[in-house]
Amino acid sequence: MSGRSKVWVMMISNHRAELSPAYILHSRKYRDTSQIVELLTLKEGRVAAVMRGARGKKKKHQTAQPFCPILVAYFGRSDLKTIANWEVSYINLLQGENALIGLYANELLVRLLGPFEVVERLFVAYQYLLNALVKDDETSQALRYFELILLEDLGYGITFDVEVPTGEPVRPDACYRYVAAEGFYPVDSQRYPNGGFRGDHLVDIANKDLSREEVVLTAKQVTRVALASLLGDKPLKSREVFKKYRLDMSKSLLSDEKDKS
Amino acid sequence: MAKLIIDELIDALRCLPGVGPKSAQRMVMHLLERDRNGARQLADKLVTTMDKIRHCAQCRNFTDLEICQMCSSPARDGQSLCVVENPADLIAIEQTGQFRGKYFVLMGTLSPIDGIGPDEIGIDILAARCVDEVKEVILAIGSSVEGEATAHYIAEMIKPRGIEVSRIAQGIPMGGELEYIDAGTLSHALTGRKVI
Ligand SMILES: [Zn+2]
Repeated sequence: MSGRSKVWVMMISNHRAELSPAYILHSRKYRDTSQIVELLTLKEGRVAAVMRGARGKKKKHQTAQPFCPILVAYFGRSDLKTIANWEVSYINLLQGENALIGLYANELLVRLLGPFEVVERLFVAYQYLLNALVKDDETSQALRYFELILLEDLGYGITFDVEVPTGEPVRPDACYRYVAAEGFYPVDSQRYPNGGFRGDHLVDIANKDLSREEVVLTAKQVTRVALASLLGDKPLKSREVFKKYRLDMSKSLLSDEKDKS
Repeated sequence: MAKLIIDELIDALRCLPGVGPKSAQRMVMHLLERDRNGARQLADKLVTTMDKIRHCAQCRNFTDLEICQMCSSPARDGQSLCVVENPADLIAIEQTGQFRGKYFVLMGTLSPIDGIGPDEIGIDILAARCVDEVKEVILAIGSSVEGEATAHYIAEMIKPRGIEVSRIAQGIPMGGELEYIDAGTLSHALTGRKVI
């Protein structure tokens, strides 16, 4: 190797070894004492990397935990990087149902985000969601905002304020139905089941104004359809967990009522 | 031909944790040279165990019976149920000698990304267990994110039934010095602090 290209390689590896912000989305066992972690990084989006010595009795680091902001340096030429160094910036403890919501967000990212797609805005939206979940404050707004930005950063952003097929602006007093990958068609609210989506909600969502509760609900219903069409035949496991969770909770409450009466 | 059979065995042994190609080869040579009888017994036991061992219908632990010995033992207190992640955790708790109740083994924790949902950890079997006799449920589940979600799920499901639910304390290991404990453990210890 010539002197010049050696310097160049060193520059590259130095650049790679810089500590940069990331989150651990998921980790799985790898060989006996290592883990493969799926990272959401600020600079390079989703990155898979081997974390050596992360498990076992003689583990060098604390166990890698999702939801905690970390600083990480990794290297390697293949898609599977090797972590050189990492540290936890601070601890985010998600409790109760918020831990389930956090796992849902992580599953979405692992399922939908391709490797090395730069998603700075999504990174910030994810951070915003985690903060809301830690504080247990405005969690549904933060979750909807995260889903909207995810769709936009994936290139499937929904145009909320334009009617299909006319291309006219959405009218606040009209009602609409949503078709994934197409958009919003005006409908007769008298005849459409549940009256369809209200135009004023759609305008709010287009402006990322999620201050009204019913707007958040509309956003939830629309993003669910849009995400489902991206997820294809294999629905999210988190969705199934939530469904069963609600069912089991209602069953328990019912049996509680029976006991009392 | 012989070489092929040996190689197949070496490959097969690598399903054991911690066994790489070198140590697999050493094991095979050892068995061939020194302990053919031991190896035959091992092969026989492996087949029997894999054929006969299933999950206990009540606690999901490994057993060769429909209901395992611990579940059917009159010496164990059926009012108290300890929920653990895996059989190794059950053994660890048994070794403390502090618990005389019965167990429920989840065989994992909720982890949607890994495809592990409520059905995979036997939530319905646990729910069916939490009627009649059971008065107290102790969640001996780790403090990972998945452990947290699992403990929450079970607690919310059981509490309305008038059963007392507790979770084992997460925190400082015995003899642990605070400055060497990682921030995650310390946060858990702080959130789970008790009045003295
Ligand atoms: Zn049993």
